[in-house]
Amino acid sequence: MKTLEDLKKMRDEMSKKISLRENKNGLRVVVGMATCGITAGARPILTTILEEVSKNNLTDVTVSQVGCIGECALEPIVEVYDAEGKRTTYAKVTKDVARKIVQSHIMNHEVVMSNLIQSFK
Amino acid sequence: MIDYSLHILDLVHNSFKANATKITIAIEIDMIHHKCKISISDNGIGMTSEEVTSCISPFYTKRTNRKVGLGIPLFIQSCEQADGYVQVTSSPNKGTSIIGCYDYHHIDALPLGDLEETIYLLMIYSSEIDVIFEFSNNETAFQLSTMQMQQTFQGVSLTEYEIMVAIKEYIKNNINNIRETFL
Repeated sequence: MKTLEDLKKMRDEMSKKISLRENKNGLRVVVGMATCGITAGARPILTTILEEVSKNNLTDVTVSQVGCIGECALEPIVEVYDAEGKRTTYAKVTKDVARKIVQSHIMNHEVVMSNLIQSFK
Repeated sequence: MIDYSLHILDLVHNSFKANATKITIAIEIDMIHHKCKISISDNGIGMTSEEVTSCISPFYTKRTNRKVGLGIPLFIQSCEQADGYVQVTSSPNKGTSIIGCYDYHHIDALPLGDLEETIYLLMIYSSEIDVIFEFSNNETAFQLSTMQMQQTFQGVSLTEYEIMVAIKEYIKNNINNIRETFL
């Protein structure tokens, strides 16, 4: 991957694999990316979540970056919103916990009890 | 912050909040005076001259859930500790630009860090915002932008796993020779 041509070649291969992917009505995952989150290590957490979501082909899941959620001491914070808008907040998320959030909460609808924000307050 | 790439990630989020649609991140390496200049400029809502003066204070913020705002003050600290400075210029409705300059051979200079990850995450923040990244030294330059990537990958989402890996690798391979300036 050194030139734009390499990237274009890759695009052509990819576009054959991806056909219909437009449903975006599922879960929404947000990661706090303000100064507090970034200093606490939110960047690798966001990358881990993006990787897990796309590796598992979870095309109806949206991952987005937001500002300060208001609990700076408990960053990195990850929130999962379900289709009805109900919110589950995870605090002090590590890479392992991020993987668990995707694998058990998002894929199997089982909340990861160990890192719920309520347990840190 | 442990490196400048995290500062860039943080500062560009200020531009996102200022409704910018075009953000330029330029890193210029001056090999003769071993200076590194990081500048971020946007076309967001901008600030009045009073706001420009107060934004360097840790006790100034626009958010309402906290009384402190540490992004710019921490960036100032990271630059000043390496014999540098930070300059903020802005005008309402035109945009804001922040420039940080430091001596990369100074013992207290932070490393540049994982630029490819920062740039990738900023590019996928929104498909409506054009993030332009420029990295140059006295001899060579590299440029990449959200629009350019969207055109290259037409119809394929930039968040596909393979594409994520490819874009990061593309950035890394192209900036490595400039980064070697630091060694």
